[in-house]
Amino acid sequence: MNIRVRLNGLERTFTIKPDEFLIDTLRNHHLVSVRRGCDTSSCGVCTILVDDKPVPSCTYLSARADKRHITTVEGIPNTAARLAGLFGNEGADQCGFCNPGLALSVHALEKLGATPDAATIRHYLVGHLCRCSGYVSQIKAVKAYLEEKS
Amino acid sequence: MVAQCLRRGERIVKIKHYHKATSMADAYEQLKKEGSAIVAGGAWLRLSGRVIETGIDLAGLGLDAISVTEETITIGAMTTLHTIETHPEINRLYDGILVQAIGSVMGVGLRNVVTIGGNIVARHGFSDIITALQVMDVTLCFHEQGETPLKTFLAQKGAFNDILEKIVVRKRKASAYFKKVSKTALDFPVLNIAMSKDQDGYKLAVGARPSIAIRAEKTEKLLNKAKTIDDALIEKVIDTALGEIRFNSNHRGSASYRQSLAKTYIRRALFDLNDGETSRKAGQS
Repeated sequence: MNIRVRLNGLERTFTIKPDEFLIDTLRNHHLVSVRRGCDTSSCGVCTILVDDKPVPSCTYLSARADKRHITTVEGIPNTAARLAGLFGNEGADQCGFCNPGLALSVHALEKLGATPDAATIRHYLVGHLCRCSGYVSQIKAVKAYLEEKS
Repeated sequence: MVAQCLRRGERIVKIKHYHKATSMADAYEQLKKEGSAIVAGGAWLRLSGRVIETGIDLAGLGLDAISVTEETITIGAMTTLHTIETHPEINRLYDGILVQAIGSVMGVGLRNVVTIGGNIVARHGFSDIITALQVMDVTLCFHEQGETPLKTFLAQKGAFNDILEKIVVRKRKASAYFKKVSKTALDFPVLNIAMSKDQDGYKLAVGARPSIAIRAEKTEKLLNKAKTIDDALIEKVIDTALGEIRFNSNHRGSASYRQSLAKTYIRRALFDLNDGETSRKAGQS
């Protein structure tokens, strides 16, 4: 079957299997910023945006993405670049494997408006596992990013 | 969420045909066919390893709306958990325990996928949502069997071949308490408990025992008969609850650990719902 999606602003048509999940569809088409972590809906590493909402792409059926907007980290270059700088400032960057998914969730959080406090940020980002950091520096960097934007 | 890693392609759901339902009648007709299954959010389904002949997608049927009247809040079965937890009115419903229960389920990303209908119909023992809903006034609306109280649905045995359309919660002036005990923010509960108090009295539900939440009706009766909630009554309430709720052991905790947790959190729930006016011991032990 075919799906038509708007991927990072461009119309694309993908041929998919009925039980295919977005992580495979996207990676099969060279969107390798979408990373495979646990592959069991738990780690948040494969997060992408579907209609501006963060979802784990390993858990989103490709068939359901038909006619929807999909954003990967390639679609948010400004957010990604600024966050990368702030992550560097806070020493939050280590292996970087979880960064694309995290950046997309931060982008979605930013779009919600109001500058959130640290607790709200944590609540929103729970589910993005990072095996390097203790999250403290990440949250600091995210907070700095959101304050800068408000 | 799932402790053991999957090897690629192993135990992941297989769906041979994908059917986008055009109406409820169409979905129901499809469901009657051998090997068909409803695809709600698809999150749990993926890890189920099931082989499905035809996956029936309800996404195009407009079942993802929340509507509010004077007396009720109606939630479409395909509404995602995150949509529900950000709804202002549901944040006030029964002291916000439904939102609290939902907010403890994995992260926002997964809650943007998981639907409330999928969670209810699956009747998972670990469901935090079912525990919270059990102490609220909830009616489920199915395509075929029509309006069914949540309690009746949960008591039904055997294979289930109907489609949940919406969940109707009757607004009540109530105070309520919810607690999920888990080892990490992302983990399944070791135990969950919900209690509410309204003009008809108390409701108490305990879940993840590890089997599905049940109401503690003898305990509720005892509470509803009582004139004051004092230490002696609390002890009796706990004894009654532990007498009527069965706990079991699994890798998350033993039956006796679950009993200890239940003791503590029933006490705290009573303390919470009575504005701290029971004995000091209630809130702290």
